[in-house]
Amino acid sequence: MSQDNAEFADFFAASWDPCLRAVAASTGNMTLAEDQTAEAFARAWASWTKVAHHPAPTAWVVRTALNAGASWWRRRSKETPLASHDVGAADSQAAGLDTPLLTALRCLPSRQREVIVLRIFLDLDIDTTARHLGIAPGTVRAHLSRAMTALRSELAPATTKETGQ
Amino acid sequence: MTDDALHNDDDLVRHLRDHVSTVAAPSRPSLAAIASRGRTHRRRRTASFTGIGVTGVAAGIALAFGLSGAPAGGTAAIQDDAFTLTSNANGTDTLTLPMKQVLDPAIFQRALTQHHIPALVKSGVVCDSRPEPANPVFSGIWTNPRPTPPQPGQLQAGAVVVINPAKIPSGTEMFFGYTSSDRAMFLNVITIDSYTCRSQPPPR
Repeated sequence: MSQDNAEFADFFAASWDPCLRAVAASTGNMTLAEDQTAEAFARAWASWTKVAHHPAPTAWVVRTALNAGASWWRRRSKETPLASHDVGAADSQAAGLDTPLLTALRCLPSRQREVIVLRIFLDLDIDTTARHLGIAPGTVRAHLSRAMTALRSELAPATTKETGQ
Repeated sequence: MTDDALHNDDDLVRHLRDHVSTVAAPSRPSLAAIASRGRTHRRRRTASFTGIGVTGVAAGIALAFGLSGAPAGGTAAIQDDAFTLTSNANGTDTLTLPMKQVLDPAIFQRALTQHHIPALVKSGVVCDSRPEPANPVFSGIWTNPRPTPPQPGQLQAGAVVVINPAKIPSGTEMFFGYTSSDRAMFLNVITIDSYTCRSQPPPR
């Protein structure tokens, strides 16, 4: 195994689970997330000399997977939706993606959701998140702040109910 | 954490991380499967750069033509490590699914289009129409696949099925639902403007 292949193998072994979970949390559909994440890792393999020097290869994979998913959703939006048998409903429940918190996350604007995924799920620092998204660090902070406020607001009734207040 | 937003929301951040860490993630695919799929991307990219004579849309397929060589009898074969599609002299097409790599639905869809097989390819779902537009075997759309499928319409690695596009009724198309986790393909015939899709896996 060449050094590049060995490096990719290590990256793949260490990053599959966090990347898949981040994609699944963002999309709410484990089956599609699995396919999109596999696709993203395949593209990373094909471009490993470039991706290996990316400031955050995991972020590259997650964003590639989510972009692949966006294409899928665009195509699907032309189809007639099904309420009770919709795609991913069953597997999102089974995978634990159906919680109020993750549902609220998926209601955020896409940029805020991306910041949450990169900054919190993948634990990137502000500067790396900003470089990856091509925006200023201050903009990352602003998106993060708005996202946290929105999530807290969405979850407030549930928290109140749980604590009996 | 260094930013104020996270300092002020430590509980929420912890909550988010806890939630994500408890998501039930399926086991990761083999490195070989990822590399195989990656090689397809690399070949497609190389083909588009070196001007093998294909447009970007058909790059992967055209390269596969090159790999499979000129088929005997002038019939065209499209092939990669996931599937082979060969035109037969009698107008039928033989689909073989070695599935030695994760199938790329986009490449497969383009291959079917090139073979004039009206079809919809989707990943991770099974689609059908009610009522069913045609019994595909009785109406001769395809012959019983080899080996015998574990359930109707399901093809697994090594399956061979002969498709007769001329028998596909007007207003309908074939459906291929691919699941990378099971390395299986579900076949069906659907009405083009009236079908529904469900998540995998179907009831066994």
